Formats: sequence, structure tokens, C-alpha cells
Amino acid sequence: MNNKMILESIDEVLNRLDSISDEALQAKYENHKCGPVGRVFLESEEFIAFMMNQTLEEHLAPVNDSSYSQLIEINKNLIKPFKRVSVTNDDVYMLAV
Amino acid sequence: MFKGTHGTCSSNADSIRANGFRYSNVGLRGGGIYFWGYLLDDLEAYAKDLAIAWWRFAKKKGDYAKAASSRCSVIFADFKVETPDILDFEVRQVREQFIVYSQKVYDRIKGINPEQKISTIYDLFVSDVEDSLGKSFKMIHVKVQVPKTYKKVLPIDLMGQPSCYVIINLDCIEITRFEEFNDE
Repeated sequence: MNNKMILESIDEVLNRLDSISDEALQAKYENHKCGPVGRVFLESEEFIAFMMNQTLEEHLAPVNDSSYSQLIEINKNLIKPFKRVSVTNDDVYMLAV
Repeated sequence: MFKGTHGTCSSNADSIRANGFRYSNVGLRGGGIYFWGYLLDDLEAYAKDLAIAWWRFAKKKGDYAKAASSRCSVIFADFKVETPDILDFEVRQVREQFIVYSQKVYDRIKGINPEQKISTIYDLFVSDVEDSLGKSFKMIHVKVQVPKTYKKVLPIDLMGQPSCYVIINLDCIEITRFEEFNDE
């Protein structure tokens, strides 16, 4: 593979972009990389506030249960627009590192 | 040989020494592990100073507030990559194509956090090109601004912006040594 192939591939990418709808592009953006985890954007201060409501056990346990919704409710004023998705605490930890 | 330095606190360095680097999604040029890159050994001291400046910047931000030791540690590494494994944003045509890509997507996607949006556009671009090529890159080369905490030895007009290697495939990282520095 040489540089020419890379440049040609990028050209193909650019050409394809024109035929992608805004909705499809947004969905691609939303689902990029680590799936829903990367879409839970919390500012650092908000994240700390969010985390302060968790015990270590809660942090280590899966959070896709009812207690997670409660945590979200407790902190809803601290969190900017978010999308409710399935995440595990391991995933949240990755964002915090 | 592609080489780089990575500035962090001693606690993180100990973890890296024991377990290796862990992939991070956090970074303004997309996900990966960030190094100050260089080719010539003569530029090692420059790359080390940039790593220390980065550590100073991160410490000031409070990134190491919870670390057992916030002392500065610089990790030196070589990268087992060949030129075809690298997506080089500093090749003029690649940079211009990336600008066109950004122009086509930036206003069409709605992001909550502008920095996250920029980071994701880099990631999307890389993955789109990889899909088109049918091949994964191991490293991204991109120029970045010097940390604000960097004490310039020579004017920027002589040095230009420093090279940053964003390592996507962590298997190509060969750590050569760790060095520690006293807090400043």
C-alpha cells in the first residue's frame, strides 16, 4: 500500500459522504467507537457529583438496573442533555480515567 | 525509527510499567495513546521537555490530584511501525482532504461537547479511511500546539509545531525507559 492508495481511499470516503443523509451521519456519529458509552458526556465536575452518589459496590456492579435510573434522577439537574443508554460501571470508569 | 515521549505522573507510570498502556478514548485528535514524536536522537531532549511540559499542564489541571505520587515521569518508547501503517495528517494532500471531510460533516452532526465533536471527527475520518482501504492504521501523525507550560528554547517560527504520534495499535509500543523528575 502506498500513499496514492490512501489518497484514493480518502477520495472515495469524501464522495460517499455526499450521499449520506444527515440522519445517517448523525447516527454514525452517535454510534461511533465504543457504542453508547462514548455518548454519555458529562463535564468533569458533573461527573464527580454523579459519582459521589455511588458506593464502591454500586460502582463495581452493573448499573443497568433500576438503581441506575434513580441515580440519573437524583442528578438530572447536574447532567446536560443526555441519552439514556445501557452502560456498565466499567464503561463509566473508562471515561473517568 | 519512530520514537516518542509520554509525560505522566509517577503513579500512572508505575501502572504502565506493570500493565502496559491502556487504550484511551480521550484525546483531541481521536482515541489512542499520545506521544511527542521524533525521528532523530538529537530531538530526544526536545521531546522530553514537551512531555514534562504536558505533565506540568495536566498537574495544573488537577489530573493527578488523586494520584499517590504526582511526580513527573517521562516514558520513552519506540514504535514498531512501517510507513504504510501510519495515517499522516501532515502530508499536505491528506490534510487538505481532511479539511474537506470536516467541512462536509462538522455542521451536519450535533455534538454536545465541541472538543468531543472534534475528537470524534478525527476518529470517524480514520475509521472511514480504514474501511475504504480494508486495513487498520497503527499510528496517526499530526502536528499539535505546544503545551502552554512549555518553556520555549527556540522561537516557534524556527521549531514549527511539534509532532504528535497517536498510537492506535498498542502492540507497536516498545517502552525503552522511564525517567522521573522532581516536582517543579
